[in-house]
Amino acid sequence: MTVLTLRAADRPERLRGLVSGLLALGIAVVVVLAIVGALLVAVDVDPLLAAQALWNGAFGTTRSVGETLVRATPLLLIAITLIPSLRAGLYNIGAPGQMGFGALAATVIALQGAALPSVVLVPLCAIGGCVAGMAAAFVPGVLKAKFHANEIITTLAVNFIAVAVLGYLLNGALQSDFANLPQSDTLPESSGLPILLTDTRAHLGLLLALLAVPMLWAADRSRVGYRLRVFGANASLAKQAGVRPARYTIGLMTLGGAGAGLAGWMQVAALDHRLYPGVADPVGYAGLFVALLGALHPLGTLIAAVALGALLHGGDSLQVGAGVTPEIVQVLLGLILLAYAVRATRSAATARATKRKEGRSWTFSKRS
Amino acid sequence: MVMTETEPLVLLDGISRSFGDNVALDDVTVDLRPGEVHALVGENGAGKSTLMKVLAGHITADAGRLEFERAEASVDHAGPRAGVGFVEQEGGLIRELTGAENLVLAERSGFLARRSSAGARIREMGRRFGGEVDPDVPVETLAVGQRQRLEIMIVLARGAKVLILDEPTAALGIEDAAMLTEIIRRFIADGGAVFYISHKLQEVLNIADRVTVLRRGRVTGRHDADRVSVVELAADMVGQMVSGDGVRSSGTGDLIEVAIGQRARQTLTTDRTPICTLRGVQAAAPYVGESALSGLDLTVRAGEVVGVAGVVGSGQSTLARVLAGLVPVSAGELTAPAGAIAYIPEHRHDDGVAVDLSIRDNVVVHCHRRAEFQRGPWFRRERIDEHVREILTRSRVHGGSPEIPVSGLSGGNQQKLVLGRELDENPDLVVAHNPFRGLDVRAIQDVREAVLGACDRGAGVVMISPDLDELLQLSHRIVVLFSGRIVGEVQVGEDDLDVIGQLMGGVA
Repeated sequence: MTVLTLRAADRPERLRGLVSGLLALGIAVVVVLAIVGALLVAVDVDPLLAAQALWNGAFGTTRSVGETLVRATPLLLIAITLIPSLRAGLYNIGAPGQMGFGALAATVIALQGAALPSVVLVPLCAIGGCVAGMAAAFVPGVLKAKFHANEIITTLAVNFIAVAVLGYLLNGALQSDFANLPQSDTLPESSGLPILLTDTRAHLGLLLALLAVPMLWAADRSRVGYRLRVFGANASLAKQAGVRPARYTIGLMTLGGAGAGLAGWMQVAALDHRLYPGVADPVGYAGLFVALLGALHPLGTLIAAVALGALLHGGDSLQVGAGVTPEIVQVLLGLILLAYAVRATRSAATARATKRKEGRSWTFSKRS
Repeated sequence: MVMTETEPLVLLDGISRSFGDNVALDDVTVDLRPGEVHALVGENGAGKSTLMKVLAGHITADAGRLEFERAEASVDHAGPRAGVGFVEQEGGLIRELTGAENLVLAERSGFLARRSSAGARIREMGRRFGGEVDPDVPVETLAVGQRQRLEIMIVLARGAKVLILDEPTAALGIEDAAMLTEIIRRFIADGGAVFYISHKLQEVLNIADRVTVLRRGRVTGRHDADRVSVVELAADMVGQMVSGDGVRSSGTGDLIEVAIGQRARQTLTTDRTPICTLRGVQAAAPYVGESALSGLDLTVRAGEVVGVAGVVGSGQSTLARVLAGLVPVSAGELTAPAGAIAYIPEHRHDDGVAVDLSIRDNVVVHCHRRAEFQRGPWFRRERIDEHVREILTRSRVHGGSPEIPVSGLSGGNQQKLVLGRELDENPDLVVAHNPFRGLDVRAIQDVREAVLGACDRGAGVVMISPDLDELLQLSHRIVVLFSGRIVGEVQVGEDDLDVIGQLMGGVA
């Protein structure tokens, strides 16, 4: 019942696509679980016990549910803001750098404005983080739009710059007087985010991230969403529809930066309360992964973010619960990513082959 | 040419193939003898290409059997079939690679392949069959006609005994078409055989020995080319009945007229105000192999159809894009029309439709900004759908509804959709580049009516085509484009048409 549907297809075809998609996902999950199970057995661990520990770690108590949501929040925010650019074929992989700059800006504002009341300081930090993230993505956007510079390379370069800038400042101007480590002073209480669920660390940022989901859904059905869809599908046609490609490219890149910048702000303001160089470490690239795993769909992405959050947090309790090193979760994540990649390319290739020319011998349909 | 009493080289016997509920081929039997050109004609969707794909091994057949060189060949599984070379309409070469590299790739010989010998083999084929093309430059630097010759030479170098040509002259100018004819003649004299698919019936009769007419997946006529007229073929093609969907107004007679290429009625409206003027316009070419515009002068007036003739690559694409406002003018003066511009692009999938998006998304490209369709930043979906359905009906797009992707429509219907969308804006100027390419007679008739309708409403029409017959049928006057400039003009019905050919070649 949608206005201007995302992937247009008639009903039965869409249903068939959904069923085969779910089937493929199910097979991938089963295969991955079997491999991980075999790995666990190989090191003399009961896979069922490990699974139980993982589940309890992620959802067992109110606190652990809160932690799962804490992990899911930045993933969701980054993923949702990346989706529009991914749909247009722009691969902004600069979330770690943009997050770093966002966190940096929020930290500086919070430390400088420690005397301000919370109602002023919190939004100020949020805006500062958001703008810093946008700026870090704006530059690759402009380079892409004006000089056709590959955005994958430029955003990656910005990530290195962010690490270097953070390292430099945290070993110098921003370094805390009470620490030998590269980290900043503790942020003032007034910059902290209110807690959403009692007895947990789940903070207001979760609401913000959740709000982004219906916003994306609504945007898909708006005029801008329509133009973006055409822009992603056929650049020449988009030009005829009045879309200015340079403007959209820059806008899409900057949007991704906004989400990552906000995620950086949340990380320092709500959780760590201080800035350190690895601020973007667990979530930076994972946001992209979540968006892809969620099939670039708002709802799918929400599910993917929570699932990944649960794995990331639940993995930490494996050590205690089942005597497994938490790195097994990294193995699991890597395998899921691999299975996803295999599944995605295979279905894309076969879909194209059956749609265009069945069993083509060797030719590609390229415009002559 | 060897006829009758020869063992057939290829026998397709009782071939049937369905796609879902759609029966593409229903018990079709066709044979091909060595040394002959066998033409397949029929409307879009008649099953010509499907039959050839079965022969080439691109797809399987549901039933029937295939004999190749008197040996039974399987039609149950798809895979490349040795000895059969399929040259498709859109060109099957990889643009970034050279001809020699394309051959190496086609042979799947991988690392062990020797590029120099591949190039030598292509040259050898070129000498033998009269289609010499440089095999050592990237395909994208070649003109359309050269690319096609290269593809044929590659197919022949792979040892094809049967050549399948699907709409080979659709994008060719006169000279290239003549060279193609020569290649075909030499190939069949050498013992090869050709299946030739075309919508141009006169051309078919000139080149083919036998003609088989397909209609809705069945054979409706088998003729010797020297004992059949264009009108008879056209009648076989469109069948005895007009499809009874109630929408169609034109009868079979009209369709036959279109099929045999009769001239459309033309009364020039009296209003002759200039709609669009170009003075000394210069503009960069949009892609390699195309001429830039260098000092082009053209005036388009209300209610007239200006045909633009010229060898492919003379600047047609640049001109079309400049008129459509997609390529900026670097020097000179362009007075654009006050109202909308309808652009029917040459490459439908590149510039006309987004195949993966829904019909709705594709139809509202221009009109989505109209206030009546908007509610704040969102759309009024019911109104939009109503409008989309109206355009589909008006433009006689069959099998369309707002939700389904454009890829679900046939090529002809996609073209009608583009036309319906563009003309919906009440344009002052219509720019139609190869609007009939690959369309069947019914679709051509619909497109012609739509273009002439816009003309009657006072729009100026610029029609660009490498096919002079198409231009002569519709245009009031024809200008000739040569290396980015207009080198001459001919009033249709008054002036001597021979001069066009000379102008196209840059003579005179």
